[in-house]
Amino acid sequence: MENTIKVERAKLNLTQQDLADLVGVSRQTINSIEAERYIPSTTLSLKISKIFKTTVNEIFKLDEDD
Amino acid sequence: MEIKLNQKQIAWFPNRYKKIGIGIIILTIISSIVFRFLDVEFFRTQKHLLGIILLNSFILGLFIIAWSKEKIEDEMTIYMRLSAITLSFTFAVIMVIMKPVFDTIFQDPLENYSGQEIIIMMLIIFLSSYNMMKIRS
Repeated sequence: MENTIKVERAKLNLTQQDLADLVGVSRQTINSIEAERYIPSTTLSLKISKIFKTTVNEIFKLDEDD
Repeated sequence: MEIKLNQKQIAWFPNRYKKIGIGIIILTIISSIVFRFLDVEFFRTQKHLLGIILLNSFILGLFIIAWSKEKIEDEMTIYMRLSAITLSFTFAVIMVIMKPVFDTIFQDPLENYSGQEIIIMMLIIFLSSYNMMKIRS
């Protein structure tokens, strides 16, 4: 699953740690999501999209393997 | 049907218990060395009992480390714990099934693993695979 968290984070000038603190997870979790090693739960996806003031579909996109 | 896991169900002890677990293991290792080299009548006669106590202390130490929370416990740590539990359980099943084969190959007497051996094996595999996943994340 592809995501645009890194881009959205850059727009708001947030570090991985800042985003992690805002959604209540560790920096490693944000790093793994950005690197597409871990697919977040619906709850976490919604929390992330809320921070970026957009929809989950705008941030996460299914790729060919999904 | 809703299946909802939370941190309390996966890790029971607070993060500081990790140090207690490590302390128990260090104490167990030191005690086993002391018992082996000290020439005391009690240690010689109660060798079997002491062995059981030391092995159980070692298991307790590993168990406390394995089930202590991370400083930040989130959904990815739950995912990594579940993956590590699956891996350790699968490894233990394979080892138990393959034990007679290994015994035959190496011409050892046919024996089963004891409960303690299986538990230690599972805990070590769990801890090493979980920490590997943590490093790679």
